[in-house]
Amino acid sequence: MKKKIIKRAYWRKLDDQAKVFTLASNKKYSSIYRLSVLLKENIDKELLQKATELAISKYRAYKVKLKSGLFWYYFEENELLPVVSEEVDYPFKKINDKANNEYLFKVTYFHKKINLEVFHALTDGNGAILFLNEIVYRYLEMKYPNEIPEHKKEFRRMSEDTEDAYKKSYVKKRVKTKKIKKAYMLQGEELDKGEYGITHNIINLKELKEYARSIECSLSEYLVALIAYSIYETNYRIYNGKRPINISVPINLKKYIKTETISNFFSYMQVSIALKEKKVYTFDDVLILVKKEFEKKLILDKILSTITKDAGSTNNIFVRIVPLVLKKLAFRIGSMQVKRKFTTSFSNVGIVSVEDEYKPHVDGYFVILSPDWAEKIKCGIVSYENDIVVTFSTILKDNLVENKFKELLKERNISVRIEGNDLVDVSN
Amino acid sequence: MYPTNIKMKKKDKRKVAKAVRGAIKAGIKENIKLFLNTKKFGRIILAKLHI
Repeated sequence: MKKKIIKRAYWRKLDDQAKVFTLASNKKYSSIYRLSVLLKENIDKELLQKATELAISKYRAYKVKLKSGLFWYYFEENELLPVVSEEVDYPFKKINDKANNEYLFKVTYFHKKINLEVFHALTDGNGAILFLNEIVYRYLEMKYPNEIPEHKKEFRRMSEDTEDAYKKSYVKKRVKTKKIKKAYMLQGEELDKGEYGITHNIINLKELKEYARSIECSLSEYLVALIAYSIYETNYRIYNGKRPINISVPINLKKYIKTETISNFFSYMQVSIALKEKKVYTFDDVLILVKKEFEKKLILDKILSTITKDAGSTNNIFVRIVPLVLKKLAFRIGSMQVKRKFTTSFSNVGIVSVEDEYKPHVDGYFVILSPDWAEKIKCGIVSYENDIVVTFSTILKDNLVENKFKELLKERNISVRIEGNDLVDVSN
Repeated sequence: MYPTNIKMKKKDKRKVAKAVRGAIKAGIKENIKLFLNTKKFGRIILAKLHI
């Protein structure tokens, strides 16, 4: 007798951080980021479409669309396939539209580059890198079928776990932290709506690491100090800033707490650089302040307290029983207040590793974060092989901060190469 | 060799009864969820109304 196959549409709850992203997102603040990979040959659209389809059949956790319930949004299985298209516009356009079959990610290509734009509710940078690499692996396997051994194609390790890792990480006793003050907001003429200036600083990783070691600080501390000082010199001093320069530094919790989840699992640390009005600061002064902040705040207990306070707020019974419409309104107002507490974001995805057989075809990676009305410049960082790429995305017309950052590196004899889109001047 | 006729303290009895009641409630809740998950309409209800 033939067994009747019951086709079950799959749905799942959002993780706690995703709940915050879906509730707080609006036209002005979209929480989208872009990961790009640069290959050595021009992209074949048909192969990329097939590769994306194969990758999504493996990463079923991402084969979803966002639906609204009475109290929360939720993910529902998407029975359609994602649509690959050529990049024709600036990044961070609406992601889950009909043309993309309502997926929460978008795959585009341009010449040798494959872009994966992701709505943060779906996953963090870590999960997105795994998915992007799966697309790249599938693409290269079809493009060069004789170069990749069969066993590499079949037994690639992956996780399908979508557990809400936040739930097991909340702490009962929160470490008391200082209330975050409103931050200095970057000033200057803005680009037209929907336009973003993108600058990639491609830096020699070894030289940068050695330099940071020579002045006894970590790579992150050094880069944060460079960004803070660039802001101070080119914007803060000119516009007579009074509030502290606050930099949000996301932290990958998967490094600290064991989990196999491919959903969101990160927190953030706020590096606050309080500057006295009449004093003129040098780079070394700023570096000392940044190092102190890292020492004080990069402590697991404090980070867990932050997630208990932020993402954990969605577990409060009084929050849970409020209908979605009202919740959205409240979270949007709340997020506006939170956003005022940060000058910029510095997100380091870390080192991307690619399997040896695929390496000859991969040239590099980029991470771009979407800037908004509060954080007018954002900074995404990723390392691959010998390079670390620091990408600034901005809605400001001038590129003074980016240029200062580059100058500071050059003054220290660190090799840096600049690339960018049509809205930035990369000539000098 | 072993003590017999051990009487449970009233306080402990209450604790056990509470745990049993909790387990039964959770079991019923879980079974309703499982049942609803087998039906398309049930799944929609679960998704739309999850709190």
